[in-house]
Amino acid sequence: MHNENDLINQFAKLREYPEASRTLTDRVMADIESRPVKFRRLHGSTLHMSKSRLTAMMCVAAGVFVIVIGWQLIEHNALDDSTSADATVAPVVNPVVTAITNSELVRFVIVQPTAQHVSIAGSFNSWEPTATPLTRVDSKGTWTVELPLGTGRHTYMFVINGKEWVSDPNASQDVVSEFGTLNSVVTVAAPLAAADMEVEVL
Amino acid sequence: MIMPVLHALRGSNLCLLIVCFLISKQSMAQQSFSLDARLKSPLRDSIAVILDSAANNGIPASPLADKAVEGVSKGASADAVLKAVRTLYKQLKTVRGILGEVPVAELDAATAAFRAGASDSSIVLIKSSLPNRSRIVPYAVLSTLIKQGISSTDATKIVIDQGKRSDDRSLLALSSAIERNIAAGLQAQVAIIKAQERLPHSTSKPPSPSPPRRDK
Repeated sequence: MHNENDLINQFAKLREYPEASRTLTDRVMADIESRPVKFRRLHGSTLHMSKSRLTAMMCVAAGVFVIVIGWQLIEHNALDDSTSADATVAPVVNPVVTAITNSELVRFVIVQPTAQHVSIAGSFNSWEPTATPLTRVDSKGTWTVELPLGTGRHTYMFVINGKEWVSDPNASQDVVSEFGTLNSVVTVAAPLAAADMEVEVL
Repeated sequence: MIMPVLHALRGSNLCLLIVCFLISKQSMAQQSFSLDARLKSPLRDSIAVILDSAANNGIPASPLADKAVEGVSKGASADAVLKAVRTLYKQLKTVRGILGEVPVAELDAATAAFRAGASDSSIVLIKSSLPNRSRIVPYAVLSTLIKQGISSTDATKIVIDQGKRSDDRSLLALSSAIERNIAAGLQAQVAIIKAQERLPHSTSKPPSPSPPRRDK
């Protein structure tokens, strides 16, 4: 009880102190906010950064991180989009393959009715025989894949069932490789600018 | 010593620098991993020596590494792979000497044209005549036309004339049209004239006839 009374008295004394004026509080807070945040000290030197700049930096870092991760995912999906192939047995037909340039996206098509697995290997995927499989799209044995290729000249071949290398008879150009095979060539032009979209292409 | 640099690269600049560094480091690691995983010693060691030599001479490693993995993927012998990479290295070095410093893709395309039979003067002329633009497609078209039996001189004139007037797509369209006409049985000069007539805004005259040859 005695202690309780002492406590009440101390609170009463505290209430007797003059309340800080509103103006003083505002000035102190304004001064604190205007001072840079000291967040790291290294070798006697200090980096200072205001709160707004720190926030902006964090936003930029988050944005860059999202872009990098997104880019990696898109690239991964584009090159590793594998689909299981139907294992059909049909009369052997010579492959008919075409590469169609459409802006930066190039569609490769091959007809291989008897193939169980078709992939494409070239300068755009380090000639990995199974890294970029084609998808069978119909009962006739048409296989296709679309790849985002950069502007330039790309050499490639199709790989049938993981072992038979087949060149593209309808490719715009073939080159004899040093390894006894005929590499097909596809050349991708730079994307059209908006103003050039109406130019007739033969 | 590092602190003034850190001060200069404050905030977002520092952040972007770190991200770029990580990306380039990852890319280099992937290429190195790809070669290490796919080439076996002693071929891997021999290729590494060539790549080192290329780096010292300003030759890009990527076309050479691509050639090595192409050979391995196709089941070529180590000797054949090494020979192909050495040959390509010499060609890249020659064309690099002709062109000077150019982007890797352009050097690659010019080297392909050189292999197809383009002369040194043709390669230089295309670079000097088509400044301030990518010359990847012009060199690719040059290769295609030479392979169709058109001389390096005539093919160069076609590429430069068309390249000055229009974009890469029109250049590719002209090349394809010439190829189709030749495949249909037309002689090269007639094939060129027919193709140019069909191109929109085409005003140039075909080059004077000359027999197909390699100008080297």
